[in-house]
Amino acid sequence: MSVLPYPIFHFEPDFTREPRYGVASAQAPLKISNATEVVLFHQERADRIFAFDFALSGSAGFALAEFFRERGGITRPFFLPSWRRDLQHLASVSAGQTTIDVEYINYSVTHLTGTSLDHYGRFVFIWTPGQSVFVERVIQAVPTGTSYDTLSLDSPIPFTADKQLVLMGFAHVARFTEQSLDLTHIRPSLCSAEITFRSYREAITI
Amino acid sequence: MPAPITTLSATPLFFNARPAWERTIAVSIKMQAISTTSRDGLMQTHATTNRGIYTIRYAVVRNRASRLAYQPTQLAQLTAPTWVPFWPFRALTTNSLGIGGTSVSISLLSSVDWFAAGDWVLLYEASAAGTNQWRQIASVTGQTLTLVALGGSLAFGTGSSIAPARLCVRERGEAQADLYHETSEIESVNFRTL
Repeated sequence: MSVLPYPIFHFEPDFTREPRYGVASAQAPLKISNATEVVLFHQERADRIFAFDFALSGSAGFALAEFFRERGGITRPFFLPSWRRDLQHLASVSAGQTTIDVEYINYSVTHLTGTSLDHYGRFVFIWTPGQSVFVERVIQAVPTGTSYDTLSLDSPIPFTADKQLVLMGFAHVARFTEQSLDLTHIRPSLCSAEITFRSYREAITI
Repeated sequence: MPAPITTLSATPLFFNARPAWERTIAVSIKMQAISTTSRDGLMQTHATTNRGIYTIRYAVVRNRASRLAYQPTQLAQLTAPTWVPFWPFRALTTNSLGIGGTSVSISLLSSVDWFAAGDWVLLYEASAAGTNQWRQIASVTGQTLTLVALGGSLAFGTGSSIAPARLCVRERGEAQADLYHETSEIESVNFRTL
């Protein structure tokens, strides 16, 4: 069983206010007199941007504030579930299983190869109502023709992953993009927050 | 050996005016770090603080009597740091605290930053007319706070609120109120931690 190198950002977005996704890179246009404009690309690869709104009840606002402080604002990364159905799993999986079949996307080449530009998929999240978000490393992906990919996870799924209920996608190594976090409370036990995250390339080679 | 630098030149005060929740409370946490992102997408950061600066903003509605009673305190608060309850981070008591009692369990797990030994907390009852009292934390074990014994301490039942507090100053060293009614005003409370 693996020990995740980063904690999981387990707060669910408020889906009544659509989560927003994007990609961004660092570049600067350089314009000299009448010459053709030159664009300087500062980064070889783009980062992914996630802008989520949250409506937090109970003590979740306090927990979010503590998470932000413990991460030192932008300083320390964490696993951020994309909260999208990046992967469609094909059949229910009982608790304790370490393999799961997903619709074919040529997973091993697209996401597990180091040279792939889009190898964000080395970690996946699995969520089902009433359970904590489960994040685990994909140690192997075996395609069966072009029908499906069988993913092997580093530790067993702790709950029954019902086909109808499960949300499964990528867990990104991400950071907060801002050094400050604003919480707006409208009741002692209800607050809202708007947070933007940026996923970074991670140096870990596990 | 150089003398330690003392940051407090005045005796701290306490601020316990309750917020007008319908006007929202905004809490902001600001951390500081220097970061560099390399061309190949790796990022290096250097945290310059390990504790954030917290800001809390909310509104307090006062009628004529409470406004007049509050004015001397308000003037004093501008010349001394003040313990301010962070209302949104309040926990609930899970046992009753009798008169003279010093042990109370709370619904939140104490963290490094909140509900720590030496800090002050504001115990209060939820109703507008409910009692409230400041107590200091002597020690913490899990979710149980041991309070410093206090003469004249009040009793609080299970489910009372207990708000952690921070030593704060008024932002920009000023306090401002808007006339709400000819006998009432709304003060915009704006504190930040030291």
